Amino acid sequence: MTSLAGQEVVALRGRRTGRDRVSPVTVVLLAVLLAILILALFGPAIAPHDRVEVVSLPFDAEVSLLGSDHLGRDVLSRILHGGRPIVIIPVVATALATLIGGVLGVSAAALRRDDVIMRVMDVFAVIPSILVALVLFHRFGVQHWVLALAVIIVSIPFTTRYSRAAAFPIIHSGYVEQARMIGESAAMILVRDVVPNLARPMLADAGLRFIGAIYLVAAAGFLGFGPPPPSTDWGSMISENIGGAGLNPWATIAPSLMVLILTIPVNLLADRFARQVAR
Amino acid sequence: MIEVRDLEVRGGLDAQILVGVSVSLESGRTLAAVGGSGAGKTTLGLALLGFVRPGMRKVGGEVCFGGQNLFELPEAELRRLRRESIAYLPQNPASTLTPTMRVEDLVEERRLATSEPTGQLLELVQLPSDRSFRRRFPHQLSIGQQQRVAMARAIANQPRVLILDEPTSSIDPTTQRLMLSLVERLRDDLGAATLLISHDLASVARMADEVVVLRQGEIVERGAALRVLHTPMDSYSKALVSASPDIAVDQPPLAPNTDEPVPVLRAIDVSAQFVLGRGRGARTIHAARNVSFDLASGETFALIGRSGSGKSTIARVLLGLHPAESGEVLLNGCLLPPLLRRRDRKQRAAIQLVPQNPEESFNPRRTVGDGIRRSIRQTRGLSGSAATERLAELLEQVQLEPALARRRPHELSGGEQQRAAIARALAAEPEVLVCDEITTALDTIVQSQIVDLLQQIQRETGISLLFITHDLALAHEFAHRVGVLNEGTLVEIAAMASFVNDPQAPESRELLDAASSLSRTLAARRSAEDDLPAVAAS
Repeated sequence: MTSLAGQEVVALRGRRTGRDRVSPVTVVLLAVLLAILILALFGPAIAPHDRVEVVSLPFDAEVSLLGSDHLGRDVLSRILHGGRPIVIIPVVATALATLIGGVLGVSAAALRRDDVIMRVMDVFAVIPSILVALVLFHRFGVQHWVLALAVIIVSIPFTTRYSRAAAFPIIHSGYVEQARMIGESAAMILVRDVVPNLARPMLADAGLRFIGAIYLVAAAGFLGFGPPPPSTDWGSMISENIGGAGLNPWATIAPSLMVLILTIPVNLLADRFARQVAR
Repeated sequence: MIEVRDLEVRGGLDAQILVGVSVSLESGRTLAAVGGSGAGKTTLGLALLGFVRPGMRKVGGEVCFGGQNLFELPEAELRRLRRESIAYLPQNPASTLTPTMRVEDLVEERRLATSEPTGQLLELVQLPSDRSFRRRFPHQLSIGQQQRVAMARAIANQPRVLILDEPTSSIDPTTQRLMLSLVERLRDDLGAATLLISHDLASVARMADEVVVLRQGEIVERGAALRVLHTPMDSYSKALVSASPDIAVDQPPLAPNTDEPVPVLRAIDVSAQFVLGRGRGARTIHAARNVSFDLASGETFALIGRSGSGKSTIARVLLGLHPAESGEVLLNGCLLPPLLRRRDRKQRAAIQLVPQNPEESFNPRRTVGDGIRRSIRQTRGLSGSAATERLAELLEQVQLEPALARRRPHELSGGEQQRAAIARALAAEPEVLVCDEITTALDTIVQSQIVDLLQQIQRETGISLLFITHDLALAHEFAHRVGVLNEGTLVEIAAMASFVNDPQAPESRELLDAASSLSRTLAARRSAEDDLPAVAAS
């Protein structure tokens, strides 16, 4: 009996020294996220109708699975067509913002006088994000890359601030000092010590930024600054069809749900990640 | 007063933290729990509050206070007991102060209707009680003052049970004496029962009536304090007592290992300062003022001083991590460039650091062996199988199992981490090893093992050791010479043997008086308590 308990302890101890275990909840969240990403990217290929094809009278709830929209187009097909911008723009923009903010933040943490970088960031941080987007649209027109640029501009102050805070204890840690003492080059210290230890916290932050980006893209679409017709996105679909919510509620509910299903797993995953980092 | 019966606590992966522990705290008495790190001392202390740390759970047993099992009380009732009857002072007492509360509110919060007024409580812990002091926030106090406020809080509710967790490890001798007198006062006036958790056997000998020795969650020995500390029965207790550094025990005179002591490292008139804070509130701290000393080859030089006396800054200047304001550092007679990036590979390799916190000095995302290999590659230019061979050699030299090198730093124990850090320093084949408070985080048994290891390495390689510590009793066991630092100034340099017998500077005498000595404390207590049954001579 006692020997059994002893063996158990040894076995469990062996597991601890191995890789971190992935919880089933994380697996489910990742699966949901992956499914919706695939649906958004490859949706146009499996859509039963074209995004501009008129299939019935406006707001006909019976015509197909999700009925038709305010111009009588198939809602399901438009959902499948409208995923790309709301997925691709935030992904690209968040990745770029995290990268640029990471570089700025690490530089700020490594330099003794980091006031210049941080004060500039503070100025940018106070501008409301939707205002930045509207000004850019006014100047460059409503286009996907402008929306991405808006997301990047409003995210950078926060990614910089976060990466500076996360990089500071790493750069001033005992192991970086140890590496300096044996004459390791700054580039090697960056690659071997700073970046690997910064990656996790930055990824956790990127998850939260990604949600912010999705909401900005969706909000721009809702306010009528979505991509010009015939292209579409979930945000514009919500505002287009809100008038017919009594006739075909799915025309509004379905795109709203898609935004939710996209953001919730990202949010929860980022939280779980942040908790792991904190440990 | 409070009784622990058959307490069993398990941690993650069902690891045993406490096994069948029974102790009873009597009114007006002090019980000490001693043992190495991981023995379950703190868990026992917290159990007296009816608390088990997250990640651990109580499997069996009970803690009875006033006829009630604390673990069965509703949370509200338990909180009331903790507020009114039981006081806990953690290892770092200053950490119990809420930063946004003023001194008077901090004390007032704990006070009961029957307690002394706040002003009196502050005077009891020898703090000013005027309005301006009472309106201060914790960050406006010195560390010593913070500790005293924490103590005032601990006594404000006139506790019947007092739990002191390693009270002497972060406290200077004056504050220690104050704490001792407060504990005595509580004991005599209120009949408080005290649990003292400590690995410092000298302070246990001074304060405790009874001792329990814990090892890996089990009580291996218990008895009257004087008996256990003088003639321990259990083999682990014996090891604990013999590993405890003792300033009053004479050491065989140590001679440097070389025939003619050639100075390897010379510091000449080194001054260094740093600026604390920014802008208008910035203060310049003179951490070193005209410090000069030599370090001969094969010699161990102990640099001793209180915290804040400038010991670490001097080490950083030698290592090229901190710019010296003035003065020179010579290595084998050649001037060393003051800053690390101006030193060449040979000069960098010649002086190596064993840091105070070894875990933090290894990249947490890489294995410990990887960190050692990196130093081999950078300082000796070895890679591939040559580096692997050298790594194996180094691990053997520091007596670390090769399998442990494949682990990440947090998967090693404190002693193993320190061995790995020593191996990494030796990888550079240095002439000087700077050991900055390397034993502070270790318990006494591991501490003496590390010191033995360093001595052995010194015998084998003839390396010079600069041993920076505040623990004079430990340093006197193996250092050839000693330098005493006080507020950045070296007030005395002497051979260790003559220093212990005849200190010159007043600061040295103070340090010697404060140095821990189990034998001296035991003798003092035995002569004070003649009525105690005589203990058999060993």
